[in-house]
Amino acid sequence: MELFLQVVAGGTAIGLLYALPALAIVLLWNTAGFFNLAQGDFVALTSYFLYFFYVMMHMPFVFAAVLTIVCLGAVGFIVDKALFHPLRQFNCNPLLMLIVTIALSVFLKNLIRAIWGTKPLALGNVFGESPVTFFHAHIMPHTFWTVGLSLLLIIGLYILSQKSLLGVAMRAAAESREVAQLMGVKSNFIISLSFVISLMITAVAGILATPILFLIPEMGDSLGLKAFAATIIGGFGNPLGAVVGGILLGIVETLAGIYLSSSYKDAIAFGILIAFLLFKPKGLFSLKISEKV
Amino acid sequence: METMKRPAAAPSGQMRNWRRLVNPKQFTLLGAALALVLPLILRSDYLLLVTDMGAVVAFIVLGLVVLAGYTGLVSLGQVAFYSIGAYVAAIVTTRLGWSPWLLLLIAPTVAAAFGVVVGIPAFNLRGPFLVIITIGFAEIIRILMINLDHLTGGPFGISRIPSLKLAGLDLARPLFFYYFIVVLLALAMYAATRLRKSRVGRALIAIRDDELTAEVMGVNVKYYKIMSFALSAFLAGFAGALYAFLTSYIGPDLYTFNESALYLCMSVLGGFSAVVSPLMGVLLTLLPELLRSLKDYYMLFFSFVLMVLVLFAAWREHKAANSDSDKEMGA
Repeated sequence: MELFLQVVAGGTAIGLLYALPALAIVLLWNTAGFFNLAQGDFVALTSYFLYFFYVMMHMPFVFAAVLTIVCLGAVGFIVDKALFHPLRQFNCNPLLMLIVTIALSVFLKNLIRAIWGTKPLALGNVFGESPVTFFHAHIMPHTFWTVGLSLLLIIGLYILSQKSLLGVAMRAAAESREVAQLMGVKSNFIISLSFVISLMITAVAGILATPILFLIPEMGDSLGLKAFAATIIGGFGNPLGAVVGGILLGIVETLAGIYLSSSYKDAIAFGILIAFLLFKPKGLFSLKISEKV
Repeated sequence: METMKRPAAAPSGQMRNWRRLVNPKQFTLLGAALALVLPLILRSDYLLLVTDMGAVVAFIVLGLVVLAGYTGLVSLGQVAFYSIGAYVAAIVTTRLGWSPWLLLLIAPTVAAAFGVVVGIPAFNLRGPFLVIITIGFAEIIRILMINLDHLTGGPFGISRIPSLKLAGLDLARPLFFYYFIVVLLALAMYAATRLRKSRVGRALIAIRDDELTAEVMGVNVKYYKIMSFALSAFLAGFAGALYAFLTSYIGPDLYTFNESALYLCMSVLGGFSAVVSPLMGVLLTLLPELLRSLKDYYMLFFSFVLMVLVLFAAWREHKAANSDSDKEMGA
């Protein structure tokens, strides 16, 4: 029972770290209609920003974290204005769009390498090193923070998208860019904004992931790939599906790490992804809305 | 100036102008001459070895030209087929003592079989989903290579792989290997160019341009998609075997996701041309060695250039499309 609780808590925490970038991917796909393959590298960039502010500049952690989120938003704004905005203007074909995000991914990795080097860095666990006992199960404080903050963010995003005018505009732009434009929605602005928001969500995931990871330029690769896996398992284009898919992936991975072999847990995660793509490509919660593939 | 006389085909007129400027026959002769004397220009065994590795990469790039350029299926997992070819060649020659020449045929065939395995399910998937399934497949293969250590040597890889021997010459020597691989690469490039103009090539391009229309016109979409997967996997597997016999050592850190991204970038930079893209592969493998001092910033610069080029390509396409629609309006 204690082990079960530990696995579920740990797995959920890891899973939420996949769910947040997955949510960012879905958000971007729904409004802008493209896939950001550099998602994982933005997680890595977040970690390095956090390292820079917290360790190198000796800022208080909360302040450093907020500053990191703002910085990622600014990076998103710049990348969108310099790269994605012109491509949208030119009606770029999806293949080129995909390749540009691959180039962006390589660019970010090498930018990190050029600035911070390849030596693994570590932040230390800022949430506390000693586990908390909860119903006889030992759970790291980091787990509580991750679960709590992620759930708050997810609920906040839900309210934003369902209740606010901005959310309505975003969903309208997702439904049909032209019609939304005719109804007075500034589609281009909404798409830029959704890219910025997607990077800020990614930044939160990065900040929560940094204390338990070593910082290397390639650290985002596996996280980004699992975020994609989460979106597919949950049902592509469905924000709820992305969250459920991420949590599911985290728990399965943790279970596989305990009962099978920890060196194969990544392979199992990708195996599940491929199985879903083969046998249930619509995922667990398929959407009935327009297909953009 | 020539284009002025042919207002009807403005975009392709420019292309034709280029073609006229560079006569394919002269171009081929020039290329062959340059390839012959390149060892004299480089004058270093090390640089020649790097060129050989670049020529190995060129085979993978050629596979991507067929897969992504002709058929329009983007793969970011070519490294999986590359590593399968390399490991099959290495394991069979070191464990069973089979002749490397035999493995030069068997290893790519095994890789092609895996290509079919990936190609069959990938049939229904498009764009990003296909990319993800290929990345996932490549990661699984890499994890297996690291963890099946009784077979693959784990993180340490496999060393002392025998080399190819031809009429008493040891082809592991960069100079001999160079001429060997140049001939093979030229043949492969020629075959790929021919393929494009053949019935099969036209079918592949029809699938890229519009899958539904191709199907309606009687193209067996599933068959051709799987075939182009198998073909690209075959070429990548062939490259893997060549690499193993050239360097006599392989390890899992040669086959990371970054390599796959690099191969795709090379083929894009060459414009998915069966001639330019593989040469781009050679050039971009050699360049970092020549610009040693810039090595740390090389990939940074390269990916930046790629983004700018994509922006430029999109702009040109947009302009061409606009001028076309203007003309239609005018008419």
